Order: sequence, then structure tokens, then C-alpha cells
Amino acid sequence: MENGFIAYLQQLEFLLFFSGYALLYILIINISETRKYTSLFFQTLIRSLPLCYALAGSLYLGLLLKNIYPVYTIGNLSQKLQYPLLTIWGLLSLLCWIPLFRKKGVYSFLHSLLFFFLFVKGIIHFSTGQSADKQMVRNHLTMYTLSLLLYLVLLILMTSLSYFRKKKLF
Amino acid sequence: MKLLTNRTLMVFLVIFSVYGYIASCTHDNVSPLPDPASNTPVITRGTSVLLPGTMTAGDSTQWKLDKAHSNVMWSTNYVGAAGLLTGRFNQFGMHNVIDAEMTTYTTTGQPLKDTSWAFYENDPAKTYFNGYVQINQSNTGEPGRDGGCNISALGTVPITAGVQNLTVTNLAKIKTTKVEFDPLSNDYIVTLNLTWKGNLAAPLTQSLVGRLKYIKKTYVQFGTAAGYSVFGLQLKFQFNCRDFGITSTSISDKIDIECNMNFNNK
Repeated sequence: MENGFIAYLQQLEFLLFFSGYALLYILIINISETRKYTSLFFQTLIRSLPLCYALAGSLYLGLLLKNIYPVYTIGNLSQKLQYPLLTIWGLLSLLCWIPLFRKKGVYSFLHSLLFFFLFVKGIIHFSTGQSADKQMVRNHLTMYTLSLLLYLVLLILMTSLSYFRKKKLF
Repeated sequence: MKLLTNRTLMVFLVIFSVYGYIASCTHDNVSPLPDPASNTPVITRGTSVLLPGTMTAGDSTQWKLDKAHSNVMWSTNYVGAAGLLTGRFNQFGMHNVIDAEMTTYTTTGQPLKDTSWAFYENDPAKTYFNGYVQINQSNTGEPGRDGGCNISALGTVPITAGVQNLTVTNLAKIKTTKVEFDPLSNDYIVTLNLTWKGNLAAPLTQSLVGRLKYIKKTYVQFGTAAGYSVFGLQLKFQFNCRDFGITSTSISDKIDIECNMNFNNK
């Protein structure tokens, strides 16, 4: 199913939209548990995490729709997708908009682990000599860094919105 | 999730993230580029003195023009605007053809000895050479052109089989007046006189500047045959054919000439 360069680009898209979430999630959960942060801000922060993930998934959906513009058919979509299963898995992040899944933040974390492993796989391939192209690892890391930044921005956005709404500031 | 599990996961994730950054570090931003190459040309000249003598076969101190492996080529833009028209002269030599020698010779070989030259690698003031071509021996590979329009356009006469025509209408010759070092390369800058009648009433002598490249003397030996030495001289120059009365619109004003002369001491 893989189609060289296009497949590689789609891998980078997965990394950009989903790989950074796992680290951010686990860091925030750990900090809040070890420091016993129970303030409204921290509670809002933790509750916003799955929303950020859902928002990133929505952005990914937007990218998919842009890529198949103007022929919005399943046929066109399936023709362009090099990793349909991974794409479907990525789109499952949209379920985090549903309160049932949103309340269990660990689901979003487990969901994103697959993409983190995709990132790890690239590093291991390079380290074990299966892939000699350092530029590819560099691309992986660039996408991973951007993903972390994306989630930071989304987290600040969602937390601020939730926090100010709870404070009834707007 | 239990705290321990969270911590383990966190450590795992952090380790892989940090390792990823370390592994992907290409050091492209810290590895210095090599120093730029020097702009000063590296010029090395030997001390070879290469002379034709009397071209006595077997005398390794006398250098002979290897005409069979030499050539004089010309090129010009077709109609002055398109791609190159090219050709070579089948008959040429390195002899100072004086007026008394400007006649026809019934021979298929060289009519005159190729002895009018000397090359001093490290003393260009002593270097000189003379050369000539038979205009009607221009060979473009198109017989219709070579024996047809080229003859009339260049003001010469058709080829007579078995005859070397060195008459004034069929002869273009060069004679160096000054050879000096090129300060920017291993080459030499040559000032030469080109004498050719073309379509004019009388031969015209024009001073031109060209570039001479010396391909260093090398000893060669093949199989069990006796070894010998070879060297090459390559001269390039350009002239305006309109100055010589050539009006053909098929060719450009400027004609490039390249002479590749190979010598040996067999």
C-alpha cells in the first residue's frame, strides 16, 4: 500500500497531529499528581487535555478534506490514503468531543501512544542501522517538536477558554 | 493510572524523546565549512625545451609533428544565430610558407617539412611557431558543402587529387609575433599574424591574440614496442571572416579556430 514519498509525507502528518500529545499528557498528569495540584486551573488544564486532542484530530480531518478537494468521495479519499487504518485510527480522536470519552482522558493518551510509537520506530530504525538517512530522523524530530508546540498552543487555548468560562468571565 | 505507572510511562516517553533529539542531531550548524579554495592560481611550469631539429627519424631529441593525430578545426554559428557549424582542415602543417614555396606540390604527404616552430616551456620569448592550412581541404562531412558552396564562398579552387595546393588563393597561414605567460593559468598568450587572401584582391595580414596550452611531455610505451615521448600544443583564436571579404550569410562574422598539434620523438 505504501507509495514512497507520499506515504512518507503522510507519516509526517500523523506525527505532526498526534505524536506530541502523549508526552504532554503524561507530564501534566505526573506534575499534578506528585505536586497534589488541585486548584481550579489545574483541574481545568487536565480536563482540557482530551479536548486538545479532539481539536488536533479535527484539524487533521480538515487537512484530509483539503487534500481531497474538490472531489469529496470515498473513492478519491481511499485512493489518496497510503495508511487507511492509521488514518481511521487518527480520526477516532474526534470521539474525544463526546463527553463519555472526554471524561476518561487516559483513552486519548492510549490512543496517541500508537503515533508516539510511530515516532519511536523511526528512531529505532535509524539507531539500529535499518535506515541510514539522518535527514529522515531529523524530519521526524521536527514534526515531533512541532506537534509538541501545537499541543501547547491548543492546551493554552482550550484551558483559557474553559477557565474563563468557569469563572464566568465571558 | 497508578502514579508508578504514570512515572514509568513518563520516563519512557521522556527518554525516547530526548534520545530522538540526540540521534537526529546532524551537527550541520556547528561543523565548519572547509576553507574556501585559494583564488590564486597554482601555476607550475617545467623547463622543457622542445625543438623539431631536422625531424630525423629515430633521433629522440628531435620532435616531429604527428599530423595523423593532429587537427585544425573551425566553428562558427550557422547564419550567425543558430547552432555551430563545424569542420576541420584535412591538410595543414607547421611550416613558414614563404612566397617561393607558395605553389602546388604533387604529393599526398606533407609538401613541406613541419619544422618552423620551437617551444620553450619556461622561456616563451624564445617560443614561436608557424602554421598553414589549405582552405579547399575544409571538411564538414557534407561533400555538397565542401566541394560546392565552400569553394566559392571562401574564394578558393576545388581540390585536385594528389596535389597539395599551397598557392595564394588556397593558403591561410599564421605566424607568431609574441608568446608570453598567462599570469592566471599555465597557458600562454600568443600574438600572431593571420595571413589569408579570402575573397580579397590580395592577402591580408591581421594581428590576433590567442591562447596556447601546453600538454606536458610524457613517456609512453605499449606492449613490447620501444617507448617514446609525446606532448601536445593546443592553440585557440578567433577572427572576423568579413575582414577577409567573406560575405556568406550562412556563417557568422566570427570564426573560432582550434589547433590541436601532437608531437612525438620517434
